[in-house]
Amino acid sequence: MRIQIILLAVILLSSLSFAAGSWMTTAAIAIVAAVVFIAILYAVGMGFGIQELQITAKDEVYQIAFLIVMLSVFAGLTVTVGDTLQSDAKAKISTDITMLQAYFTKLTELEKVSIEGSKTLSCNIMMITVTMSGCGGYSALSPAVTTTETVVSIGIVELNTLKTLLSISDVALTIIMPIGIILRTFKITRAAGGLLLAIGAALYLILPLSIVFIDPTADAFAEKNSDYNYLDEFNSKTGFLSPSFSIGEPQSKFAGCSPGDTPNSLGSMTGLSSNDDAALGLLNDMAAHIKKPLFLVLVKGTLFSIIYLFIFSTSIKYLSMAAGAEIDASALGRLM
Amino acid sequence: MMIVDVCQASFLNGFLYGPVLQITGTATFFAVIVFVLVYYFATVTNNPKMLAWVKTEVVQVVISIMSIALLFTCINFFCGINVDSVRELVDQPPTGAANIFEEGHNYLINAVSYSHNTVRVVRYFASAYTILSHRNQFHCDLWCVFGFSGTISSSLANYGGRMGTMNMLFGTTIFYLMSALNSLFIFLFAVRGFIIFFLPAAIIVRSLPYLRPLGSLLIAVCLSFFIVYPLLLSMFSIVSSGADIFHDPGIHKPGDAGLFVEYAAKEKDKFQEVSGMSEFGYGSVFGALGTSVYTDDTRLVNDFFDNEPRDFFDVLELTARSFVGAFLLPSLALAGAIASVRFFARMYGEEIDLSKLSQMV
Repeated sequence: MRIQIILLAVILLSSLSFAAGSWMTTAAIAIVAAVVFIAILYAVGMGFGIQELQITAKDEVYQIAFLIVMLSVFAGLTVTVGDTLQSDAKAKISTDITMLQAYFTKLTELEKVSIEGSKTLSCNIMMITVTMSGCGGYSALSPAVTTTETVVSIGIVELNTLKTLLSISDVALTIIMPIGIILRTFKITRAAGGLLLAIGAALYLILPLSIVFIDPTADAFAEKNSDYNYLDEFNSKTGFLSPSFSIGEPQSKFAGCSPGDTPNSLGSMTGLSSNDDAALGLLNDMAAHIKKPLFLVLVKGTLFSIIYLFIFSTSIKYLSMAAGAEIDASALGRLM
Repeated sequence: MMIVDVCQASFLNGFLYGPVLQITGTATFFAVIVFVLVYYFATVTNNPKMLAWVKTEVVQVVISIMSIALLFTCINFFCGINVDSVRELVDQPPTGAANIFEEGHNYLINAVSYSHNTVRVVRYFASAYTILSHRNQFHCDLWCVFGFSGTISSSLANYGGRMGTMNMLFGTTIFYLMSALNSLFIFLFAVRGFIIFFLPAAIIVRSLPYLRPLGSLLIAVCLSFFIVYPLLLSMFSIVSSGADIFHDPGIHKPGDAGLFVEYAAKEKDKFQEVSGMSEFGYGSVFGALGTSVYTDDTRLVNDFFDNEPRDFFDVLELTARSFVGAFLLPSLALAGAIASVRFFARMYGEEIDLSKLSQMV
């Protein structure tokens, strides 16, 4: 009964496989060649009475049957959802890369804090030198901008890695799968063939599938929590920040720094210099600039990229096990 | 000089069918002598255990010799495969590689040169951003007439973020280069025949008590690194050319020079010019009199970069491509070769656990 169900499934799925393309032609040629070889092997074993050859031939028949089932399932999935997954995944990754590049370009507006923070006033009269650095407020903001730029750059690199892997998935069907099928058909090269089949299936189906289903969750979360103001919530619980401090609208003018203007108790009501007031205003600017896009960078550019690559490496491990080759891809996943 | 000479007649006749076969034959001869002596001793002393051992070991020696014959057959078979025909089968342009081993070698050479050029480009950008972000200027004010008074600032300190990014990427791209070189050296060690010296040792070791798994492992290693590893690399070579992995991201349209030509090739001249400037430029009256690269920040930036920040984004893409082409695919090929060691060993009836070794590699 079980065998009849399997045969029925293969017949039903094989009808879809005819639409799958030229790689199925290669698969058919390889399978027919292997069947002929197995038949010769069995005939020799039966003719000379060598039981080991007959057992080996029967084992190879089971391997061929399993390969046909695997290919039928893969062909069915390829025809129904393969192209759609590919195009959607590439579009999402390209959109994310463009967004991160645009965000990086926007961040360059805040890079001026580094220039302002580096200003020092120096005066030397009659061998007496006085140096004043009144721009400490700006120099304190500089590492935040630098770190944000580095994080965004890392996110762009990781998304470009995914883009490169998706470009390989274009050739997964035309190059990797046919060669993997041929190699898996024969006992000596079964491990190599199994690995190539696993890589082809992971690249063409698993990786785009994970991108298409996981990527929109970040957009949905960001949209649902767009009004979330973490600084106000933090301040209300701890009282750490002054009540006047809150995230406001970005200021349109970038106030420069006067290095000779140092904190003076006779100065402003807050006891701060005009430089520090301007730096606090710039802090509001940065918080407004960085908050939502940074979520996008950290989640989409960093966290999701790592998840996709781990899914990719783990799927190679288990698909290769199913295809007859046990690959330890866990170390590879850790390196990724 | 042909680096991959495994298919050359001089290698086949002068090494493979010469010293290797002789050593293998000698090992087999001594093993057979030992078996004959043990057989006679067992017959004289009427010891059934020793008789059973001898019969088992004779079968194992035959299996070992058949494995060596299989390996030699596969080498000849791979040397006979025209990879350009395989490329035509999958609609890829021919590269002129004569066989599987050359194709695998070509891929690793491409990976090493691509990752090396990536390191050079990243180093150029890191050096340039470092020079820019450490550039200081002194803006004299009215009191300069009476002494020394003015504002010191780093006018290009805004490039500090990009400097940090490039410094970090420099470390990772060097790692990719080392990984590609590691794969290349393992490949050369295998296809230059040194690994075949494991075979004679395997014949003897497989016949010794308690050491059969080691002998099976040695044969499996030979088969894996001479059959599976070059095969996977040659397949990835076809894949990389089909997906155009080793593409210079700086070439956006025909006619563009690209990152490798613009930056990697010109780095020495560019930085010699800048270091010369630092000796004569800042204290120079000529520099202060008119706008020049000594005093004009924009001109200095344009002197270093053709199209910033587009080139910066191209370097990020270059790093990603280097990861896939120089690290990921060769590592997958090596992982596949190590997995096939276990597969081949199982064919000899041994179960070998290589999980820790594969993680270390």
